[in-house]
Amino acid sequence: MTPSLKTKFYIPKPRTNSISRPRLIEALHNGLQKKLTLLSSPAGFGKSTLLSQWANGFKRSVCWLSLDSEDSDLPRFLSDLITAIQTIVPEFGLGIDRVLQVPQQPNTKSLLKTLINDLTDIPKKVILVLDDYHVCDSVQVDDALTYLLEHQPAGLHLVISSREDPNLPLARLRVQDQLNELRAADLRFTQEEVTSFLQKQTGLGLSQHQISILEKRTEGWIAGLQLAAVSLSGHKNTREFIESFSGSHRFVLDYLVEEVLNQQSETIKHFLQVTSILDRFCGSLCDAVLQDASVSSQETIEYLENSNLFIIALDNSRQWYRYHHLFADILRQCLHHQVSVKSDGKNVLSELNHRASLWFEEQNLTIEAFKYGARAGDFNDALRLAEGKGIPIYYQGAAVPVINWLRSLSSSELNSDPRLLVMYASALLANGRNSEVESKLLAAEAVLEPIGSEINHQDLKGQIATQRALLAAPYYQADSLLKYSRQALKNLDAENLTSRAIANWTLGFAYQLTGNTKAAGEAYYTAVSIARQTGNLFVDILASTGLGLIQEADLKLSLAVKTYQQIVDSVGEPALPTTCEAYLGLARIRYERNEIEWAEKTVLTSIQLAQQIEHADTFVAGQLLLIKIYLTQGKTTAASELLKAVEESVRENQFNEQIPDVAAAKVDILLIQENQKAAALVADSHDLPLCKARIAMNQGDAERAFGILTNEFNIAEEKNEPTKQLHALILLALALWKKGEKQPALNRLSKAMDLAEPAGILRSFADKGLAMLPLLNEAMKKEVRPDYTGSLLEVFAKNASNIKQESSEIKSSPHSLLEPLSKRELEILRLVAQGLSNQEIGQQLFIALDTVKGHNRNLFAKLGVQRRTEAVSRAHELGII
Amino acid sequence: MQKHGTGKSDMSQVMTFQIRVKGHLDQHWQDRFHGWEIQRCENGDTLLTGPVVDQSELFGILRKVRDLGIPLLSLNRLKSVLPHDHGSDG
Repeated sequence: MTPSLKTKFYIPKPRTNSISRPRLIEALHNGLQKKLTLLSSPAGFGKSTLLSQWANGFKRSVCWLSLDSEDSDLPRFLSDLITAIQTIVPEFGLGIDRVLQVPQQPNTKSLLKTLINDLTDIPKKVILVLDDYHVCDSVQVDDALTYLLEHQPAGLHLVISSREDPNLPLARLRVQDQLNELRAADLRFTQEEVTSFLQKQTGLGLSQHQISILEKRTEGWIAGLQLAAVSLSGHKNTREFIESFSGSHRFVLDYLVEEVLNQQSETIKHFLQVTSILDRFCGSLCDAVLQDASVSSQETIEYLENSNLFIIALDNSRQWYRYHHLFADILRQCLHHQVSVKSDGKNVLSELNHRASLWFEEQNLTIEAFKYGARAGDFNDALRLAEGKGIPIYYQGAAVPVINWLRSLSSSELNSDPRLLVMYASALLANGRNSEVESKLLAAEAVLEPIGSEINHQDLKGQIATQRALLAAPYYQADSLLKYSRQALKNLDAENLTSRAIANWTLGFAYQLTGNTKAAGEAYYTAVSIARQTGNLFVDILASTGLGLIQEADLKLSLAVKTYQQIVDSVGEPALPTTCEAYLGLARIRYERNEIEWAEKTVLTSIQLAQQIEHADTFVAGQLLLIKIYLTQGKTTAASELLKAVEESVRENQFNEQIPDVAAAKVDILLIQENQKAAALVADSHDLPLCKARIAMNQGDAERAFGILTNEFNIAEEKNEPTKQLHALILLALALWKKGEKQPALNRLSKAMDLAEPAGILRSFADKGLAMLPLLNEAMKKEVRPDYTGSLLEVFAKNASNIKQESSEIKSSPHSLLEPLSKRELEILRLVAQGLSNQEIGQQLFIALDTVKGHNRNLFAKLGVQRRTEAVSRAHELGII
Repeated sequence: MQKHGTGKSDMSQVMTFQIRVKGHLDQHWQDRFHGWEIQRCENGDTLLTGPVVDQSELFGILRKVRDLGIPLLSLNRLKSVLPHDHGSDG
């Protein structure tokens, strides 16, 4: 995401001659122990001025955010919130901020939690001011703030100013006495304030009567009084001014702005009106828009500032300014009115916007250049600017302005131009609104053919296909991915590097899913080199990760480590969520090499990053690796608890791709718990051949295991899948060993070692369990790769303590139960086995029927059964009764 | 100047609304208020009367009133299409 303008985080300087308002400052101070201060009143009641006066009193605790309409986009709002807090706590929320920098929809709930945790960690009081909250028109932002208020750390005080009551639980906060409110009635100038203000501003020595006329006419409305003061200063006859002002019914602003403008020279009037089209301005920008060599904009700005003409400095260096919103509104209105009176009125406005757009473009401020280009109303220009230099602006966090522009077009304009529709689709996709994309693509296709020749049909077709490929990626739809990627690459322009990089990545992904690793590698490689040409870090990471995965599957682990490490290094600290796969790859390899602690640390990073991406299943793969790590460390209970959580999230999110791996992890745990029966059930129902083979071996059926494994090995060899070959070979060696065929077993083991040793693989052997030990001892005796065999035996020795500890844990709860039965439960179990009903059991033990039922429930859960009969047979099986 | 969505709306569904605000608004605001008729009442109020195709257009206009800090007094939907000064807001 392109960072927001620094001026949004600047606490405005109060005007030197503004009056002090001690009663309101005190009210603000007194509210600090509450959660929220709300300044709610119409425009022009001095909310921002009051807050800036107050905030400048203790800058070190105040962070300021002047919201604009772009903050209606929740990720942008959160990013700005963090930047604001960083102005007083520089190290705050760096990790979260990075998450918001990539065009991947973040998981906002987990982000908010992290944000609140980070806020809790700040050792000092933080006052967060959100100025102009009304411009932020978004239920998502309201919800996020509501969540923040509900979990607000004690050190945080929130201040919101708004022209309308925000959609927050205000009533509840009021009841809880957590809301400090300042409303129009509090904010408007009192008679004393009007008096002191007018004296200070005009220095005219007005009579009490005159002051009260002005107060009555403006009703204490500060914007009105300010304009009145400026008018008065420039007016020759005070009495005449006050009389005609109070005698008029005209809307205060209309009356006074006209007064003020009439007192200015034509040059100044023109300057004010023309520059009112600018949301913010500096001298050079005004020069570019005015195009009048006789006027120095810098000097004019200084004059406006000295004359109090509603100009607000946006930074310390007095470079950027804006007009007071109300004043700008009326100036713009006058400009509009004037130019529309002329016959070519519309062109004047669009010319002015066009000049502003050009200026911003020269400064490489592409997003603002786009905004003015769009206002100028020139399609082609706006289109060109949205496409940006190198990477389109909607891929740089400016999807919302592009969407807003396209939405502002009439449907006849929009639906007749396929370029606009394709861009609409891209911006929606970049904004994570995947479900809305296809309809725009269809609409684009419908008008693609009949339109004139200035449009590049081929390239648009390619872009449409690229987006369809991207839509298919999260669903692992290999067929669609392949079809659309090819279609995209056939049609895309050679110069359309952004789309070509993406399409090569989706192509690589498609090949990878279909097992064509060679072609996948080539496509990824192309994607990486194009992405690096344009500085497209996002596609670079995705495609490089693909390369790493292929290298890993080929057992080129050292190369894979290099690839993954490079991804991690290229991003630096804090890490981007997109790098979660790279971290996971590193963790897997470290695990294989038995660097367990390091692997654990790395996989935790990966999980944490992956959870920040919406709808991504990578964290499940990370948790499955963590389960393996726990098992290695002898933490069976932790492993099975984590598995339960994983099963739940897979079910909830329908991560169906992960189901076989989850089942395999379940088998691992069940086998360690010596629950062969349940393990066999899981392996059968999910068709996991390697698991089936291990279970067959455990049950003494080495012959059957051998059959399954031979088949598996042949398939893996045919498909050239070294990792699968390796696992099949190790188990084959074990099966042969169990069959008593020692030499063939050693041959297979040696073959497995051929594959594994160069990669430094250890755990694939060790994880097959203690049954490996006699085989490895024999290999040592026969001097089969003695160094390597030696290091494998070392792994067993190292883990022996863990494994022993674990098995003694099992033995001590003598029945292979995770949790031992209580004395009472055992008693009840025996009575159940004797065939007693619950009521009879209750009578015999002198306990209530419900109590018996409660004990039964616990009992069944511990035994892992549903019914009484099952409980009895399981108890027999375990030798409990 | 103002774009009315797709223009597909059935004109029979167009509703007429009248907004009463405090103070006399100048004629030049007509552009901003979607070309609505601006009538200045003797008591110093202004009546803004005009058609809206839907609620979002109505809220757009109310937002403009809000953003100018013009005190809003009343909002009525008119039964007849003809806007008149008398008796339109009860």
